[in-house]
Amino acid sequence: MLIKVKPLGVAKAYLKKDLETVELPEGAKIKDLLDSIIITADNADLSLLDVATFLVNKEPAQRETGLQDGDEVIIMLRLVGG
Amino acid sequence: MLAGYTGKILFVNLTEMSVTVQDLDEDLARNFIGGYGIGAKILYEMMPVGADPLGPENILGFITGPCTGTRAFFGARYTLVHKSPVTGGWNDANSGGYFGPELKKAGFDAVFISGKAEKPVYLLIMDGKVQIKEATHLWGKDTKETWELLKTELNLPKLRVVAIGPAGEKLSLMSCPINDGHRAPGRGGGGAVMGSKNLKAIAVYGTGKITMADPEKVTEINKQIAANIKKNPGAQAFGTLGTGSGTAVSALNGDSPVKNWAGVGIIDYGEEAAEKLGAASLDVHKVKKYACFNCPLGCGAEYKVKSGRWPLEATERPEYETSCSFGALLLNSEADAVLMCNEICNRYGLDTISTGATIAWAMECYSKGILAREELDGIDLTWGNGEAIVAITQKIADQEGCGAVLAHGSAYDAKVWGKGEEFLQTASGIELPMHDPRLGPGLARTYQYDPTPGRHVKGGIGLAQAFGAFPDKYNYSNTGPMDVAATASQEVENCAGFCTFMMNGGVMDAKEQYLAAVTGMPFFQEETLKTGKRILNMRHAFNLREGFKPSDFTISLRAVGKPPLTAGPLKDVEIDVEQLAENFFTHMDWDTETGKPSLESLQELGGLEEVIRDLYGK
Repeated sequence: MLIKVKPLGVAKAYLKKDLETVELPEGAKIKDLLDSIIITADNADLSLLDVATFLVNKEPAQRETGLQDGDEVIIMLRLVGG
Repeated sequence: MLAGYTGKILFVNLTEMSVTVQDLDEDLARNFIGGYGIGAKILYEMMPVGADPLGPENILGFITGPCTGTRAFFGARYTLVHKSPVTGGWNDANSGGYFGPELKKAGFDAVFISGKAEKPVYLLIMDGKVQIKEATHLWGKDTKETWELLKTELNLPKLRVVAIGPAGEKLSLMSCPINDGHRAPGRGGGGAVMGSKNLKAIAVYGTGKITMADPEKVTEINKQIAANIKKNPGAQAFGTLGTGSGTAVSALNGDSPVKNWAGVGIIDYGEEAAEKLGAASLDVHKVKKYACFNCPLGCGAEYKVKSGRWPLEATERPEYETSCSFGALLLNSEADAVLMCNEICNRYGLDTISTGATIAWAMECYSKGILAREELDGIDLTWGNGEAIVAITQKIADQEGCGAVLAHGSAYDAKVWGKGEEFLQTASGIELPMHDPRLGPGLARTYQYDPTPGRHVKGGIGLAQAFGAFPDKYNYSNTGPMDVAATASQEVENCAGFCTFMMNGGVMDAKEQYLAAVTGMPFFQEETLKTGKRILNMRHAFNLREGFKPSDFTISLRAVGKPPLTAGPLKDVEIDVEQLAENFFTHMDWDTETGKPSLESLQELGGLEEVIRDLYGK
């Protein structure tokens, strides 16, 4: 199935570039999507991705949320500002 | 004296025009560290109960921490303390830049000011010498003009100044002092307290050295933090784009409130609008990077707006809180309007959070027909109208027309105009900051019940819930131990002179390691809990002595999800803030009805003899 991916802000730094759609097997979850698009090079600290906000079709979602063909997944990190 | 401290505190009485220097008591330093720890202890001892916040009996303190001005990373902060004219209770607010470090180089850990001068004055502190000087010629000048004039007339290009602008002179309840032209202890009406004393500014210059007990250890910790920052893209973004590196996303993920706390960012504001106020968009105006004293991140930047509706020859990158309060909170995506409002607030000495939030309240009242266009001097204050936002901000700054009322904040406005109370988004009368408790529910407890209400830099579990991997964060049972520990930790961090963003350094016990290395005083995480609780009790006791009880501390309902949002990332979230508060109070050993700490807990913490005397007659 094809999933539309939209990383916003700093999340882009952690994910493969120029992502628009990702093909995943049926039954895949958000965590599977992440595994397929995270950049793990350069010893990057990936802890921020542990607390990312996910929206599927603009509805709240979790890592365990299952995906359907055509879903749009927004990935946002949470960076504390002041 | 412990290393890190200068060992001297300055007391100024502006009624008597007198100056007294006292040695810093070492036990006071050990027990209360610095900042508002020492500030709360001294104000509790010296300020009479029931003092008018805008009267001569209020005491204004500018207090550094032992790590302020040392080589320890993130140690640039000083804290402003006083009784708040907004809440009527305890107030503290901190600021970075260079004023705090310079005050220590000039020979003092803290300055406390009481009384009221007959005419405008400023304090000049140079290498241990103190003068009270006439400031009639500075009255009416904005904060940047004041700084430049003082540098020129004293022939000291490196002079550091904290000053009020016209907003503080006119006793705006949203006014604040500004140091270094744009850094602010912004919240709680400190500008009005300065103005009420006819104190225009404090100017400092020093050549002294600040000692450290173990400078090699400080260097070692610095190296560790620098290495951590290099491998953390979030910290890198913070250093590159500033505190607003997450502004755009925050408006969409539920972190920053939208449309006076009633909106859903992903729906009401949208990605395009959010992106326009993102740090990368604003940074097209960047001239160069700016860092507070000895900061490895450097979240500030100097801007130049070359053209457009509001060209600005020299201005500053707005902070996250500013971009949110003048941005998504107002459904505004006009970046030039945000930059202009930021400039007005910095020059006039206004808290950007309260100013933006007050405009949000007025916008909602206007949109619902509660405030008429005529009452807003003909300004069409519709959601997202950048021209109108700038116009109303200027009126607030000048206290002209409707601005004469709006300048004192939304709670004051609702009371004076007798309407719109249902749209206030405040905690005990002060506008809420720009992190939404519905994302980090512990923030609701902090905003409502901290002795300094409505602050985003007061610790607790809220920020960890919003930004960390916090399991089951909407479960409200047994939150007390972690909430107390996280609050105590922040108390020590603030009082040591550190910036909250030392969290980007990635060293969990950095403040303990730095405190020990700077002062020579062994400091472990067990001390953090005890010392933080002691400081928290001191601030809390100030409010209790003024007659406050827990039920006097309030928060507006939207911020706690009453009613809950019906869409977006925070859909259906409703916060049980009373349970969070009960958990916190119980774990602090505070009575949930009266707020009174138990005698045993006060005795165990130590250093709180006057609190025990007042509460228990012993």
